[in-house]
Amino acid sequence: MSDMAPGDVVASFDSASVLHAGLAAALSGRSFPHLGNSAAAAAAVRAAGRLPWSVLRHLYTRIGASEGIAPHRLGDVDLGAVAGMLADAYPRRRYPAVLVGSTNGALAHLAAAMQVPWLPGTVLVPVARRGDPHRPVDALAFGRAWAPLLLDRNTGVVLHHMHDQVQDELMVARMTYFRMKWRELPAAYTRFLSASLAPGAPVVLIEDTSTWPVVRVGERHVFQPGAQGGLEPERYLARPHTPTADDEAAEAEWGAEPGFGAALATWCAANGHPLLTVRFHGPQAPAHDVASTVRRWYRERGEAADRLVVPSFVLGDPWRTISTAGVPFWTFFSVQAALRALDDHLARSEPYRQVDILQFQHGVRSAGIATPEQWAGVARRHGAQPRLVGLDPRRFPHDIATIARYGPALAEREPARRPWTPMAVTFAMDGVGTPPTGIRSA
Amino acid sequence: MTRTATRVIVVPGAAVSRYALPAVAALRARGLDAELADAPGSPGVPTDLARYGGQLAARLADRPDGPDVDVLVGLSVGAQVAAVAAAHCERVRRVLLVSPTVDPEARTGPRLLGRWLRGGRLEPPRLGARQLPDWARAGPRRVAAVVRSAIEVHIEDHLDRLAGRLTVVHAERDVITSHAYAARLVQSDPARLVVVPGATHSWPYQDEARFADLVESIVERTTA
Repeated sequence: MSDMAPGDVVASFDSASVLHAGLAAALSGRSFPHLGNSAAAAAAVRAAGRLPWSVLRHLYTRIGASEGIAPHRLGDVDLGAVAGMLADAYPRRRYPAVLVGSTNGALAHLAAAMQVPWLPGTVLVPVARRGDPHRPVDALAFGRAWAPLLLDRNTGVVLHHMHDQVQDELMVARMTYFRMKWRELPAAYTRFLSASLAPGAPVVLIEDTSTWPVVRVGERHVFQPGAQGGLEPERYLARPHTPTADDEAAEAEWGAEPGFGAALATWCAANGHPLLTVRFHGPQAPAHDVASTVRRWYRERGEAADRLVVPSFVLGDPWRTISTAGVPFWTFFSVQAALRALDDHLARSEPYRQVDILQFQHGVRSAGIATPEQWAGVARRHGAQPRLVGLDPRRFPHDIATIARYGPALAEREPARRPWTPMAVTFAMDGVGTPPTGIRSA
Repeated sequence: MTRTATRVIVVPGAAVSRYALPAVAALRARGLDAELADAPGSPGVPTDLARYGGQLAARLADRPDGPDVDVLVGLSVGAQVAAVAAAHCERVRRVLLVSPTVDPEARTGPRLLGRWLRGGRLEPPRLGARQLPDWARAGPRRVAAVVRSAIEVHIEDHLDRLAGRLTVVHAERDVITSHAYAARLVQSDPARLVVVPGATHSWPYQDEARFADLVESIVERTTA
């Protein structure tokens, strides 16, 4: 059987792929409504969003699960082709820097401001599997049986099989999440770097040092019970039917695979490009620095910079945010940890006039979730006017159609006032605590 | 010769110049020595953009004792003229290409026409009324000849020879010239891209103050 098309391999709700697509749109000067889906699809989602949750839940689960790859086809997955698809999505030109590595929405917004690309270190391959979401041991056994097909075909990757029955309860009943991390630089990435970096331009390694307890299945295969979000790892591990962890590994969705960073460093040394590293612990960590840096950039050109935009997980529009001089404070999920981070940012910043809050809806009132009222309350407590963007709080956490409404809602924002030039790489790196030396100012 | 004012020359779009008069007036009001060049394709002016650019370069070089051009501005297809002129004249100190044409993705007549029609829906309502008399004066054959030349003259082929600093302006809502093309034109240091929020292809029409601000800032930024 022939290889699967790379576009059919990666989950449409994968954080890396969606944030990458939003950035690719921003580098083309395009907004990113309804997560890059067509206007017709968005209209259908908005219409379906009016259905009662009892009906919509069924539809949501079925449609989401339809993305799962049949396990016997895992040998037809070529992750090198997926890397090529990711690299080819960016407009062809010489860039003053390229970001590579961990997924992070805050840094994706910073990249949009710099107008530089980011090459993800991971993608999510959804695999069809029916099972009880509350029996992770069964998912582990499934992965042990089927993963060799995928790993034998793709020797440059590590599999972090992730099972989060708390936040992904609806989906993991019908599919399982194979999160693939590159441990080598795929050929498509090296080609892109060679062709797209300006002479002497730096490569910026994004390294999230998050780890998680795992069950080691093989040298390139671990099983991760739970995921970053509302609960600590111990709470997942204490649940029934959960295998005992025997190792610690990079967190599946956000953490950096060490081999990938080493491969990138080798490439940079051999090709005369400085390597900068932005290192942090946990996906929420860079949001404050990014927001403060972007705000300072706006103010230096005379913008008021008093409107905060709070993207949520994959829900956001980097181009629209930057082109309307919105200060991005990205949140990794609508959970209490992210809410506290926003509270902290507002406490440490000069007051904002308005806070536009987006909230990704995963359809479950899961442990640790943060409600729309709580988000709005934090904004008010710091003197700002909150606005829920494209969200019907009465339907929370089931307002799935917010993915088709946030784009038009953000489009109502007034454009920025001042002409602008992309943020200098040196300015951006200074802002996130990685002062570069010896690179040109873009 | 004693320099008294910053010298700016603005090359307008295809066979149209009236829409650019207020922008030039705004520069003069700031004390700049601003001149509106003839529109490419207007009566008596070449429809061939490369030829017109060559003529402009020769004119600028023809006066050894005359002042340098501090900023040569090209609007739309005028950007193609300006790029050619600046590539052939060392006396142009800065080049400002606004909404430069033609995006490689639109280098056929039908594609360019399609983009022009789409872009027209976004433009200020009075723009057409401002441009129609100019087009009528030039006549459809000359306008069509300018469009044919615009498809054939590629700005990127001339940028390596620029002596002056390059700034490319992309109007955020411009659908004739893509953001990606504008960004691709500024790949060599110290060229830079400027995005004008909310603006359309005809910028700086009806936005003279921001235009004058930008020209002044370019001169200040690169005078040190």
